[in-house]
Amino acid sequence: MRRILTIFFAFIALSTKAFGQDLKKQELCPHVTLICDQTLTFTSAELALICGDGKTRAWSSIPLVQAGEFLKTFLASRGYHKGIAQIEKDHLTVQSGPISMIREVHIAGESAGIDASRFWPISGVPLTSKALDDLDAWLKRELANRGMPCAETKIEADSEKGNITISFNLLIPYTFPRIETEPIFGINGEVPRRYYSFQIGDLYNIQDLELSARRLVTDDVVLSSHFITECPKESSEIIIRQQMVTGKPRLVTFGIGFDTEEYLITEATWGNARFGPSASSLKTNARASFRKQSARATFDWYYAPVITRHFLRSVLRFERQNERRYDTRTFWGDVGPGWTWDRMDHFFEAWLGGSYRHDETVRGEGSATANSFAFAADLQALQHDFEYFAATPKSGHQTNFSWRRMRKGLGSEFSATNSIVSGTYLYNLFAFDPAIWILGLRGEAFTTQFGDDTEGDEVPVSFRNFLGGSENLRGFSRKQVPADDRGALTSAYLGAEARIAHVLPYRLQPIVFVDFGRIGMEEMKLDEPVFWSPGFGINWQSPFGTLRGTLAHGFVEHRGERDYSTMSHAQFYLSFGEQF
Amino acid sequence: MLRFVFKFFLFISFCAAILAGTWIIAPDLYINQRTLGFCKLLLERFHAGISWSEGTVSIASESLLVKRLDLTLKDIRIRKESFNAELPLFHIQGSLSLKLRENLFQDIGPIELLSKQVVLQPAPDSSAEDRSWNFRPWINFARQTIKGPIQIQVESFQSPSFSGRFTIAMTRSLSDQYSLQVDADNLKDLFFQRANLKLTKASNSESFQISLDGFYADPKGNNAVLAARGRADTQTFTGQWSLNERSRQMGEIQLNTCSLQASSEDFFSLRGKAETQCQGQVKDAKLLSQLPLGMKGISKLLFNLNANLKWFSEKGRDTIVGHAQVHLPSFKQGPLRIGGTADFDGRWDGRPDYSRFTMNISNFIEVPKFQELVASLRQTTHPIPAPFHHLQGSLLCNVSGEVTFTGMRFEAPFQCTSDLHSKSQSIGAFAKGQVIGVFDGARPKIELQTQLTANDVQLVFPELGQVTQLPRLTRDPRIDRTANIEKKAVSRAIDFKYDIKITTKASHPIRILNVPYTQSIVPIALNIELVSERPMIGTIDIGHVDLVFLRRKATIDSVRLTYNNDDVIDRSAALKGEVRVVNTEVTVHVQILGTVKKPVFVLHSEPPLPESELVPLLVYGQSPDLLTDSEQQSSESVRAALAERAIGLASMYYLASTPIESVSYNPASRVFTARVSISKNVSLSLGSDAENTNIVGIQRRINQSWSFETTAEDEGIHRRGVAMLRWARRY
Repeated sequence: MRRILTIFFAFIALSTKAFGQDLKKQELCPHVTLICDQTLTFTSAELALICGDGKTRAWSSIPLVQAGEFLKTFLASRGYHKGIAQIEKDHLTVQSGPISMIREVHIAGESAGIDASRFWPISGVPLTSKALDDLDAWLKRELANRGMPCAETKIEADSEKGNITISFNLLIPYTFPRIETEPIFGINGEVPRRYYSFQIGDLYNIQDLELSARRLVTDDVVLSSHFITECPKESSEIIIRQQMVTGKPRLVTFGIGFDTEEYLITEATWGNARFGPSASSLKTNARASFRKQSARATFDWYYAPVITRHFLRSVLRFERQNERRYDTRTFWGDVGPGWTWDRMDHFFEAWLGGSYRHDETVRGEGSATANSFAFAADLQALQHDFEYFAATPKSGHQTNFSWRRMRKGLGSEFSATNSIVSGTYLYNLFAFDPAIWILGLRGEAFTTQFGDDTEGDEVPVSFRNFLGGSENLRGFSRKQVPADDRGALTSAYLGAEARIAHVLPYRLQPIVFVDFGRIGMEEMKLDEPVFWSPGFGINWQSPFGTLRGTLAHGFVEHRGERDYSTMSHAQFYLSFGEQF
Repeated sequence: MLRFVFKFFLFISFCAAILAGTWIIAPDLYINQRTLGFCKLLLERFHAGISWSEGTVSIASESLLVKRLDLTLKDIRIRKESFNAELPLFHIQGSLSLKLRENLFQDIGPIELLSKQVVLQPAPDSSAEDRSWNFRPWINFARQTIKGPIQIQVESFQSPSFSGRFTIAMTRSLSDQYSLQVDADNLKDLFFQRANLKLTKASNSESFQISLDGFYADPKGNNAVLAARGRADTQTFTGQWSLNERSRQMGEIQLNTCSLQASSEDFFSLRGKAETQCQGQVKDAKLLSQLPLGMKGISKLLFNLNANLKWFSEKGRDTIVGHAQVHLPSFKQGPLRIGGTADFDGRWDGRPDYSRFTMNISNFIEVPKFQELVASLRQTTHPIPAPFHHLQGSLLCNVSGEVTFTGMRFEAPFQCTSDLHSKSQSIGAFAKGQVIGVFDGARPKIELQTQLTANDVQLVFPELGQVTQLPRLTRDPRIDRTANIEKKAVSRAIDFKYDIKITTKASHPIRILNVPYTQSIVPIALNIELVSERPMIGTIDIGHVDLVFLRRKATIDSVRLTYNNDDVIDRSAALKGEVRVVNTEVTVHVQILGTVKKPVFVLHSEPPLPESELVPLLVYGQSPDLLTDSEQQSSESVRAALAERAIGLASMYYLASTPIESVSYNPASRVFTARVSISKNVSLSLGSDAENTNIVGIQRRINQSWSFETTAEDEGIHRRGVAMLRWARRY
């Protein structure tokens, strides 16, 4: 099945090329003609070797036989391996012959569990050195992902049949040894291990190394990091060394930008990710847009004298939201311990603590002012695949859980419990690499429960939820659901999306999706109408990031007599950076 | 007693008279079927090795003393130690004379002999002298007695010297002229497959006319026709001969109207001598056309042949010794001038592998005007390639010295010199060596052994302009590898091997001009050996080269490539060299080790700095403190790629000589990608151009401080996309 699909997409890829066209005569220079089924372009260096360079006397003219050999070699580098040169009356005519396409790739001998047909980009494309190099790089990566970084590949191709035969040597699996790291000025040399997604003794996987290096860079601990794997010559263990560029610890930035929902944004940040020998992290930022103005300072304090993945997180945050339904000002102060760990191909992060919050509602439903102190817990589980392919999501899953509980009289003016569970699951259909069909599911459940001693209007609107927008119900306006300005105490959302990647030219990826949502104006209860929005859209993997446009229509399914027709409409969203 | 003796002689006389009388009156009493049967019985009893299945014999009186014998034997089998034969029919008629003073056999003939198979083998103890039969009494006997025609047919004759099928007919005309004609066919181990020998002798002359025609052909298309005419007696031959031979390699060899004088101790003994002189020519020599020269000019080679030969039989082998001289008059044909002399001395011992020749040769092939060679080859399949086709000057090859032939093997020494030059190029070289040829198999084997010394070689690279990507000049060996190997094996008509040593003088390295990114002449010293069926061994030394490109300056101090398969795993040359990149205060030395396929670069500096600081100096010419974040990241990528040997020689060449924009390295696929500035508006990507799309968010740097980036931000449990123009500074 996979092979048939591969051939199918190869055919699609071919259809964009000059396939089956009439032969064209191309005069490369006055005495050299190329007959080919498509117009080929040659580099200036290639033309100099075919036609003469015109500047150096020794190379000003090229004997036609020699020019013919050069041209046939250059044609071979473009997939034409059956070139024929003919010389008549001081004129060279080279017939390119048919282009050799890659038709079949198979592995001879031990396959190491690799199915070469998964690497579809080379199927049906011209048989060139670049295609073989791409295949070789992919095979090496696959082997390195299976614990065999030192395996050798051998590739042979038959241009007549379009067959590629692969064979492997040194298929020896290795496990992660203890990794040698370079010292980082001012911090403990063990700090990088905090970011490792693997344990010593696990089966070697190059993806884990890349993920670990990326975490270190993303957290601004170092500027750059690479793991160097050395294959053993005599010993039975591989050697892995980690190289890093630390850079200076403090980073200040100022930016002006565009957010599809907040429009114009200005932002200033300051951070230092290498506080103290344990590399504690202090990050601050201030952002202003038409809808939202905020300031935030986060300090993750790794206070333990030894390097662990345990920290004390303190957050101070101010935010003003100027939404259509409400205008609020909120101040937070969070403090509590947190942990991160990696197990069973997943990354976990847990945080427990107390959260003080002051809310002012200038416009909208709910209490005008409210102070609260909450016991808070956040848990995140992220499959390594999902984390690794975060920029180009194609597989894996993640789950987030957030819980806040406030009790009147215990630092709070009201009693409430707020719980949010959300998750995303992505599936790479047929496991093509790069992925072609990507199916995704995402969902979110939200509820706020009031205490017995609390009325609904005592709780600020920020403890209620609205659906609608590019984040969930894409057929509705931002925070359009519910129509009631109070917001929903309970909501559930489930979205399904199918994306076709790497097939259309210009890095365009069509998507179709459907979102479902229900809300409840009461605690732990979902009301009858079902809000759903089928739609389609397109992703463009632009040089500056993913640009996504979606068009969907919101529908409301209900049995009651209430009229929701005003909510139902078509909605277009354009977003940067969002994937699914 | 006397009486007894008298009676005894009387009895004997009586018996003799009765015997003579009965022989005269009734000879068939003695020679008849019974006596023939008795003879057969006797021969079998005494293991004479001769038997027959049936025979008839009759005798009749022609006169009182002359009887006519008629003997026919069928299915005769002869089994002797050195002679085996199967004769289906033997028929002879002859007259027996009882006259005194006359031979017993008065005349013989006709004789008819049909033979299926005759095998002659040398007796184990036979000496060389035994084989030198004295034919003279037999010839005299035959001349005196054989009157009637003789017809002999041998379907299969085998001997140590030759084998074949023969028909021999001898007639005697009324004018008493003898004529012997031998037709041979299916001959083996002789020069010819078919031969016709005719000897005619007048009765009043001691000499006879000889006419010999021989023909040879094989399935490969080689053939030869020999014709000899002359007059001979039993000791001398004087006449003429000619040979026309066509062979696949040599083309057509013609030796016309050659004079020949031969003498023998006995005409039929295997001992004698000969002198011959003739003019010959080689036409359409395919060997010449198969040479890379392949020019249409050489269609005919004229030569003179003089030879003095002796032949004899020694140790059971027919041997020829002597001297021959082939003289090739100097002539110019197309772009070539050719001439010389070859003197052969040696012996032919019946088989090529027993034979040995020496040849003193003094020949030359000269290309007085190289451009004539260029012009003559321009329209062929082997033109002189660029950049050599613009050279002027001459080439000269002398083949002089002693050429040794052992069996079908020869060794020929040669020396060649070249004096080619143009405004920007020159090739002054001297080669000395020998050519060894072996022709004993299905394919001729040619081996070239030479020592080539490049005295003055300067070559120029083409002007390739802004080299954004060097073109690949050889085909990818991974594609059609098996088919190409089979094709090469099939296409070799000649098994050609070579062993070529190429050296340059230390004071005169090969000089390459117009190498990209340097104004310097690149000096290359060679000490290499090219041997067929084995990778090259030796060393290639690249000398001091200054690379100047835009604002960077790098110097190749030395690079040595050592080709030695014993030490290298990946079958490529071992590298050892050093490149210097000079900065304001620090000089970075890049030591190049490893192999050409997998080079290893080791950095050190003056003053000494850690590698983490050397890479930024090498790549950006600045210390890491002065670099932007992205430049530092690029430096780190270079370090990682260096450590994992992911940077090839070509990429390092650019890194050392050009300003770097950015570098990325994917350790999983070991793909190293660098963007270098070629000019203000042109960038060059080295390595794979694959995007590292797995980085969260994409940043495009605008200048040192400003960048444009899109990121997916976490906001609570939601992710939000933001595009932002950002100024950043790290401190």
